[in-house]
Amino acid sequence: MRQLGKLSLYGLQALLYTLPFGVIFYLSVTPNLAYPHWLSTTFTPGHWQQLAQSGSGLSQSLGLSLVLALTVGFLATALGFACSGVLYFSRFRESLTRLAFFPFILTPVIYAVVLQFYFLKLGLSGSTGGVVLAQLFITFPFAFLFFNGFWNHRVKQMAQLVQTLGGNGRQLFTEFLAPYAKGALVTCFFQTFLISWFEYGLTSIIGIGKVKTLTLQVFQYLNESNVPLAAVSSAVLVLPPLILLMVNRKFLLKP
Amino acid sequence: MVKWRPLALVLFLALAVFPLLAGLGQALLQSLGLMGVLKQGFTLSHWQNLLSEKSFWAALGFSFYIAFTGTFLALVLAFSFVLNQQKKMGQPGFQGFLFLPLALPALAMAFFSYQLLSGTGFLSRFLHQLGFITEPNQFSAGVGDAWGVGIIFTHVLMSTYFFTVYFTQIWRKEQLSSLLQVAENLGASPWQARWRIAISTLFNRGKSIITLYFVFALGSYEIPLLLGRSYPQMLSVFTVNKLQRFNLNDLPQAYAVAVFYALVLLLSLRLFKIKAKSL
Repeated sequence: MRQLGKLSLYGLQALLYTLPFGVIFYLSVTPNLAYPHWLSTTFTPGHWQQLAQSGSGLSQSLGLSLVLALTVGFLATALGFACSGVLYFSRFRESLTRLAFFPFILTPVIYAVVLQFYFLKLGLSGSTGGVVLAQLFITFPFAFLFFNGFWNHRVKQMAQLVQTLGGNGRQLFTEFLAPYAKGALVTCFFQTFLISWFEYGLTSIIGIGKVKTLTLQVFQYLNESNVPLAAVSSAVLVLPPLILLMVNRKFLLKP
Repeated sequence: MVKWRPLALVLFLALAVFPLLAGLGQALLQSLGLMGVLKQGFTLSHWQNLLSEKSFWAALGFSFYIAFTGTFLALVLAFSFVLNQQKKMGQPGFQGFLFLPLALPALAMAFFSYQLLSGTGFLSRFLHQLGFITEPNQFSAGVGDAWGVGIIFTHVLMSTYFFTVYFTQIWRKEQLSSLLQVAENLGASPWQARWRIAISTLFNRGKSIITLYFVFALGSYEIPLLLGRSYPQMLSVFTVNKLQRFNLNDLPQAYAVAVFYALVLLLSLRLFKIKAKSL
């Protein structure tokens, strides 16, 4: 009886873990099925081919999302690393850490609601640059907090040693800090990339629907009752984290 | 590094502090009638209107109900998964399997729930094939329902995966398998050992993350937007709807909700003593 209970628990878990992927992929290769049919006998790669068509909404959204997430990931990581390194040994460290925590945990959509006024005034609403800046307001504090775990007195002493031995600022970064922090830099880049890649609420409000990323495209296809294309968009959203998971699990976990 | 400190401080303030203070500041001023298109001098009328609005309290109550129920059910499931899989935890293949659902964003998960639970979704079609229903509207759908079944289901799915991975790591770090063995050798029943040692350790070590997840669920947007209904709404959907309505009088109220939500968040963090290091 106990074995049966355990088996059903494993079964439930296996179902919960794989079903979402299965359903999303299945819907992306089947045509819109009329109720009450639930199993399609025809499968088509046609919806996926839209990704390769250069003028299609899907391919444009994919390109935009990639550019946006890469830019935000790079800027947040670089600025977060530099700022946390310089400010870690200041007397304000504790206060700064507390201050960085709040924007990161405030719901992005609520943050966007209070920021929208300024973005409208500055003419940044509806522009890709505006969305990058708004996403930096949540990813930069994250990166700052992330690198707080990297800096310590040992790193500081090593940096001082490089400088004592005659190394300049550029050499300090290229010869010591960058190789030493490589793992943390890569992990932070992927995590901030994913925050931007998955973002919906803030992007829809600051972008006022004009900056059509993949997440916005999913909603648009659903509103148009175009389930196959919504499924393709969702499947594409899942691809980068799946690849990262295959490369290294820690990219998906927080510090 | 010291010479770069002023520049780094300015950059930090410009990206992490100033936008938040400026945003919340203007939201507070607009909600008090001191700024914006409806500027009319200091007034509490927008706050009074908001606080007397039934739909605001419904949104607040609904958000807490969803966050609490979703987190509680996910914890129960995650505890049972972790307690029953101690032997499997060490296997690398199984660990990879555990991480798999973390690759799913909230939007993809909501899309999956929508396709599963809506009136014309997979479950409804399956029940139709079995002869239990003949029309989609006979299926008591989990999308747009009063109890937020679809929203809770999606949150449970997402947080169960997350908590299972997190608790698995605590289990290994705290060497709970050995502690359970010792407890049983000293005469504790398996149930006592699990309840008093395993669950209490996992819960106490995970308290900060559980509270943080609760806060994330409280303010979630995409999931209720896709799976919720127009009344009651979750707080984030309620706020955005107020912001995007054609009635300008709703704008100050949207800002008032945003300020209210930020205050609730700040209070929760202080109350549960959540610190940045718990991230």
